[in-house]
Parts: sequence; structure tokens; C-alpha cells
Amino acid sequence: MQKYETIFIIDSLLKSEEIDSIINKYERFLSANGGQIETVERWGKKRLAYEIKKRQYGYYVVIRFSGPPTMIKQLEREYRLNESLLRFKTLAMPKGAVQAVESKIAADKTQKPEAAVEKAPLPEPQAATDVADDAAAGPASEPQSVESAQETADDETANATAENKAE
Amino acid sequence: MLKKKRICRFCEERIDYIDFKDEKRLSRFTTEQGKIIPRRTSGTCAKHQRQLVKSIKIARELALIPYISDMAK
Repeated sequence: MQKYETIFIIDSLLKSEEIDSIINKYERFLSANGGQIETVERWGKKRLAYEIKKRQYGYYVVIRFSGPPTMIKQLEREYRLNESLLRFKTLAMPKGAVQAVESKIAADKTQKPEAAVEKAPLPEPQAATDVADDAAAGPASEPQSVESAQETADDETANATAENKAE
Repeated sequence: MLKKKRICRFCEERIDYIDFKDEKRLSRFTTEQGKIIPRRTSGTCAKHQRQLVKSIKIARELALIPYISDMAK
């Protein structure tokens, strides 16, 4: 059976019980339609990169499951009917993805079983400032990126001069 | 003038699958404005750039990384 990964964003203004019930609803839907749920990942409340339906934040949930291809259409239909979902996406997982996930899970298990759950919500508050932070923190954490940044700048100036000449 | 060889980051780290959920890594391959950095500047190999582009576009749809951000004003 094909493995799928479905990810949806719930309106984070809902009460936590409502969010739970929505997640439960889809878990039940998947198992009722011949799917087998492998993992349910809750990323929790997370800042969106841009506003969706006037919302700044969303509650992210990732479910990995295997099931027949016919159920995807039904699942997406269910998603569409639910107005408290901001976004959803279902993707068939390529082989590489399955391996990557499995090895990651295995690695997490060897360290701490809770590590994966705890790690997920933590970096989120920083998401807003990430773009700015990356620019500042990038060179410090990785000496290589200093070079690449300079090279980028060089390339841009080179491009600019080339364009000027063309004009 | 000798050109410096840029090595594909993904080949270096032996990554087969570029995850669209890994926003930190993806945002490293976008400009401050949110544009995808071209291969000629990042040095990514063709195979990985194709995957990277796909992952970035998926991540944008899921509001993990911005389509555009006006940070650079």
C-alpha cells in the first residue's frame, strides 16, 4: 500500500478540546476507510508565514498513514467541508521520504522517546524573526555561509554591471 | 580569474530527500525576500535543486515559508 503524509492547519483560535476533536475525527476517518495510521505529529500552534483567513497562527498536525489511493479523494473532500481548517495537503511519500522518516524515528527512539515531541513546538516562537535571525546567525554558526554570502554579493554586482553594459 | 568551486550542500551531507517540513533548511536557500536562490549562486546540483524547488513550493503553500516577505526595505 502506498504511504501518505497528510498535513493540515487548524484555526488556533478554537478551544483545545475542539482541536482535539477535529484531529480525532480525521484519525477515525482514516482508520474507518481502510487506512492504517502510523504516526500523528502535532506541531502545535505555529506562526504562519503569511495570513490565512485573517489568522496569524495555526495549529499544525501531520499524520502519516498507508491506505488505498481511492480514499485520498474522500479525505480531501472531508477537509474541504471543514471550515475551521486553514490549509491541508496530502502527499504520497516517495521512497526517500519513507526512509528518512524511519531513520529519524529510529534515531529519536535511541535518544529519548519524548525528544521528538518536545522538539517540535519549541522552535516555533522564533519563526517570526527567523528570516532576520538567519541572516545574522547564519555566518556565525557556519563559517561556510560567510563565503557564500560574499559570493552572492559578488555575483549580484557582476550581474548588475553586465546589465548596465547591455543597456 | 579562477572560479571557486561550489559544492552542493545536499550532496555533501548525503541527503536523498529534501523535506518540505524542514523550513529552516529551506529558508537557507531563499533570499531575504523569499525568492529561491538560483543554482549558479548556491552551487546546488541539478538533481537536488529540482527537489529543493518542489519542496520550497510545497512549504510555501503550507505557510511554512513566505512567498514574499518585505524584510529588505
